[in-house]
This record gives sequence, C-alpha cells and structure tokens, in this order.
Amino acid sequence: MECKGGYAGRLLEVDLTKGILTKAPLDPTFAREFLGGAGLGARLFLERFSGALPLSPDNPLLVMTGPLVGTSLPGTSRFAVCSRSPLTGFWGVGTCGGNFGPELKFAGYDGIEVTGKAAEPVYLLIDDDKVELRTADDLWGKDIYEVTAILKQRHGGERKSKVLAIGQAGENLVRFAAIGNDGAHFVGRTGMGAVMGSKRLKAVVVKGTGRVVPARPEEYEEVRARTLEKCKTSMVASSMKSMGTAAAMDLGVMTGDVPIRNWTCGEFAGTSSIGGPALRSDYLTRGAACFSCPIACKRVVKVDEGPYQTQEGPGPEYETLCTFGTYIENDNLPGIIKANELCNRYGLDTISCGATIAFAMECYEKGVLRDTGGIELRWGDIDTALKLVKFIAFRQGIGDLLAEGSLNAARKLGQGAEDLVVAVKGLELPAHDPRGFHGMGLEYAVGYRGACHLQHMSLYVEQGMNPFTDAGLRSDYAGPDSEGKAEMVLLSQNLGVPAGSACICIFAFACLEGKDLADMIQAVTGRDFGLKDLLALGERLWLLQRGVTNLLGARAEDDTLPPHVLSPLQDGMAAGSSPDLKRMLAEYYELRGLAAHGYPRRDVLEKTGLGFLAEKLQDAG
Amino acid sequence: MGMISVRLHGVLNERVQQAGDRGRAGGELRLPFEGAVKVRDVLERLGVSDKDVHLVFVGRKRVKLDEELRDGDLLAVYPPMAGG
Repeated sequence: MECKGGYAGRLLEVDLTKGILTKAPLDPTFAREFLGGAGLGARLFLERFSGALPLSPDNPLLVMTGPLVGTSLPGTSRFAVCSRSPLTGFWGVGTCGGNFGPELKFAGYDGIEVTGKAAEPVYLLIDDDKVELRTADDLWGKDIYEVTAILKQRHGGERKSKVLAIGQAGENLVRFAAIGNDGAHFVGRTGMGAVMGSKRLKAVVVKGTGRVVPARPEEYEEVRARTLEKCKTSMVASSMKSMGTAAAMDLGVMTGDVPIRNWTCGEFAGTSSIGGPALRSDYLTRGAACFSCPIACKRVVKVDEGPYQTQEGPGPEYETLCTFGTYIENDNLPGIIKANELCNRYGLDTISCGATIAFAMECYEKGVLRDTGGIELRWGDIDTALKLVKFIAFRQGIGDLLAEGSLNAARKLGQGAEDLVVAVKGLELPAHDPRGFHGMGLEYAVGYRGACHLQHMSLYVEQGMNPFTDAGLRSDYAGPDSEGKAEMVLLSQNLGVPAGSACICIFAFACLEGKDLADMIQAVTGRDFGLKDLLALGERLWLLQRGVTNLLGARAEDDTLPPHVLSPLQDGMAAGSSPDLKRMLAEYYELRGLAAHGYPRRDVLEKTGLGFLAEKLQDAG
Repeated sequence: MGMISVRLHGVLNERVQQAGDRGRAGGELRLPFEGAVKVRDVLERLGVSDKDVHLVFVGRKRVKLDEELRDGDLLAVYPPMAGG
C-alpha cells in the first residue's frame, strides 16, 4: 500500500480474546492533532480507557509509527510501544529504532492496537493485507534471539520479514521486560514486554511491499538533502559514528553526569576500562544502522574467549555500560557485554535491570536485604549480577522480588529500603546525574512516564551540544545550576515530545534545528507546518500524556526526585551540588499551567484543544 | 622551553594524524612550547577547529579557549559526545 502524505490511514485492531483482526480507519483528525508515535498512541489509549490494571486483558497495547517513518529522511525509523506500565502503573512508553516501524508502514498500517488475552500463546503475522494469528506454542519459552531467527526463517528470511518479540522475561511478567526488534533493537523502558507477555502475544512478524509517498515531493527532496548534510557534518553524529553512545562515558565522568555505586559516589577509577575507546578497540566487530540512518551509532560486538564469551551481537549502549558498570562499581567490560547479551535474550530493560541490581546491592550492604538464598550481593561483582539477571528473567529465588522493579521490591522489603530506590514514579533513573545537570532533575521529576532522558531535548541543550536557539533556547546553561531550568525544560519538551511522535531518533534530531523537523513534517504530510506549530504540538502532546498519567493516579507529590539524588555528593565533578527542585517545580508548574494537585489546568487544556481530557480529569477527581 | 600534554578524546583523536603518538582512550601528545600559549593556540597547532570542540579541561578544571597554559599542564579536549 502507498502511504500518501505519510499515513497509511488505517490501524490493525487485534482482539486476542476473540481472535478477531480488524482493519480500522485512522481518524484523520487524530492524525493531524496528535501526529503519531506515543502522542497518537495516548489519544487512542484514551478512547479505550477503562482504568484497567497493566497486566489485565483490558489494558490496550499500542504499537505506533508516525508520518515520517518509512521515508528516507534521516533517523526516521522509530516506533513507540505504549500502554499502562506494569512497572509504574502510569502511562508507559518505550521507543525503538531498527526496521519494524518502516516495514509496518510498507504493509499499510500506521499502528497496531492489541487488546484481550489469547487462550494459548500466539504470534501475529502481517503480510501486507493478509493478517492472521498463529500458534506460538513452539516458541513460548524461547529467548528473543532464538524466536527471531526461527520466525525470520519461517517467513521469508533475514531481510524480508521484521520481527518484534519478547523473551522469557516478558512471558514471566517481569515488570521491566523489554521487546526486541530483529533481536538487535529494543523497546526498553516501562515494561512493555510484560504487557505483551500478559496477552500471550509472543511476537509480531511483518512484511510489507508498499512505500511512503511525501505530499510535497520537491520540498521533501530539499529538506532531505539539507538534513542529511547536517547529520553528516555534525560533530555529535561523528562521535556517534565513531564510538556509539559509549563515547558519553569518557565525557560524562568529567561533567559529573555518570552515576556511581547506586548514585552514592562521585568517583570510580574503572570508567576508562568500560568506555567507548575500550569497547571499540577490544570488542567491536562492526558498526550498524537503523533504517534510513546516516549516523550508524549501533555497535556490534563479540567477546571471543574467557568466562564472558558471547556471540556476535548488539553491544551495550552508554546506559548499559553505566547500569552494569558504574552503578555497581564493575570495571569488567566483557562482563557488561555478557550482561547486555543476557538482557537482550531474555528481554529485559538494561537500565531498570542494572539499576535494580545496584539497588539490591546497597540494600544488602545496609542489611535491609538478607534473604538472598545464600547469594552475596557485593559491589563490583559482575558474576553475581549475571546470576541475578537470569534469576530475574525466570523469577527464581531473590529474582522474583527484584523482577517487581526497585520501588515495588523496596515496598515489600520495608526497613527504609525505599530511601535507597533511585526512581521517579517507579521508573529507575537513566544514567544522567541531575546533580551535574539540574534541568535533567526537573525532567525526571515531571516526566509523564517517570524518569526519562529521551522524550525531550534537555540532554543536548543543557550539556551545550545543541542549543536549538531557533526554538528560544540558549547555548549557555550551566549544568549544576537551577536558574532558568524550568523554561529550558518546558521548551526542550515542546521540541522533544513531537520529535518522539514524529518517530525521529533524537540522535538525528540533535544534529538539526527545530525548523528542520517542522519542514520534514510539512513536506511529508503536505499541510502547512512551521516551527510554531511544532512547539504548539509539543505542548499539546506533553499535556495529553501528562493527563493520561494523572488519570492513572499521578499527583503533584509524584513529581519528585529520590533521596540519593537530592543529597549532594562528597566527591567527583558534581560534588556539593544538588538540584533546587522546589524552586524549579514551582516555576515549571506556573509555566506549564499545572494546578497545585498536579493536573493540567482546565483553561490550559481547553486552549490546547484537549477539552475532552479536562472532562475525564474532572471525572477522575 | 615548556611542555604541555594533550589528550584529544573521541573523534578528535582520530582526526589528528600524529602517527606513533596516538593510542586508545585519547592517547597523550606532548607539545613543547615557548612563551605564552593559550588553549586555542594548542588547538590550532594540532589542526583542531574551535567549533568541533565541546569542552576543555586542564587537569580536572574546566577552562575556556583563552586560558593560558603552564609548563606541565595536562589538557583534555572533548568533542560533543552524546549518550542515550
């Protein structure tokens, strides 16, 4: 099918309880007002909103693309999976690059809405217009690498079919279970793999023969050439191409960005052993790219020998080098690569998994966690971490507790364990320390999915890598300072949220300006769309997703930071600094138009075209 | 005569061709100098463009391009590097 103007114009609705598949039209008003990705997903979620618990059959799971996906614009490969999160109980969003999103568009669908629960394990097969559910009895229990290989072989080979799959962690309802795309790209955050597992949906296979046709071809060619050139000449992109996200370790230790020992220390001598140069010189076999990406930040690695031997496969990103490295004071790089492979196979978010293990190590050290089945959880012990990864995926022994995520585990442990949790709204913090960059602290605190480093552009703005001055941001924000950060965060969200819904990778967007993205949307969809429209869309999409999280129970008191992060470090590059959260929150609430209890104000919702949400929030009290 | 050590990090390290003097993790370059020398002078000598530089440190102190250097200083130069 041809996706004219960027949209296929239809969704695939899958009722797993009844086994019914329906091709439903996509409401063009929704497409115009909410674009795609998680923003459009949130609007569709509200249509089905019942307050259903995350792992109940009635909780809808949405796999969403956007209008740019499937074009050859740089970085537009992404898709979002969203639902009520089993980890946080709030709005859950995980995003992913790779190849699945474009292929879904080529097959003629803007998204998939899954409800219900299959009686037996199934997988969904989409071959253009032909769609069916097939038994996954023979696939249940297999890891993501295995099931991906089997399904690709069964359905046309490595290049012809694209696969989304869960591993054992999703089947076992680990609350931070991930979803793999072709075994190489992962929907990591907020436990979307567990929602798939709860529905007994093992995998989705898609094959498509269509294409995406921009509405304004001449403008499209111009913006494509312009943005490709910017991506090729950008230093951010050059660094990414050279060392992937792992490069950030070397810089981050100098700026106070890298969290150490469950966020309690500012210095760790082992970072040079686990950073970008070491990964590249000792374990890299090749770089790799997502669909339509000139940057190619992916690292393919292999550990040839020794106790941590792995097959050739996707290497650890910066986040994983931290969560299985600095978070637990481990400087053994092959051990981290092994942990990454296990998480990929079982289907676990490497951020939440490593962070939960770091939390458990501190609990063990402080005597809060004693019943470990004889396992000693010592700092720096990667062998124990590897054992725990497996225990978590299969919910064995102490893994059954840790599979609940750090906050839920702490509530069960009691004895002050909650003070050792480093999460916001139940989502473990990614590896950027707010004590080095206060604005990131505000982002974490107010994030609609919890502590998030991706649904905004603050990482690039606050660190001075791309000021996005055309959107009203500045190039001179001081990291360990709370001054002016509320406005910075607001504008960074208004840029980053629509980028997420356009499904462009933020690494590509970090090489561009706000207007470039607006021009992309205009060229593909054909409607007049400028930078102002982009920022207004960002405001609407942020408020919408905030409102969904409010409907699911979040209040002002959930907009906070964990005790560890509010305590200044004694050493390291950010020593003595902590975010002035109270001040930033007060300023942000005013600017964003949030009422004291944390809901968006009615007048703000009505002004941004979200009157229907105001009604729902009023009903929810 | 004084001596300054320079570590170029990431892609800057790859771009500066100093055969035999480069190593992994920002191999250290040793540059002799006479008289007053600033960070930007060192970058120019190495053929590194200002606009490709994100942050510069002398030891653990973050400095600007106009910072004057002293004998024995260790300069660390970083391009933008983004994690995710």
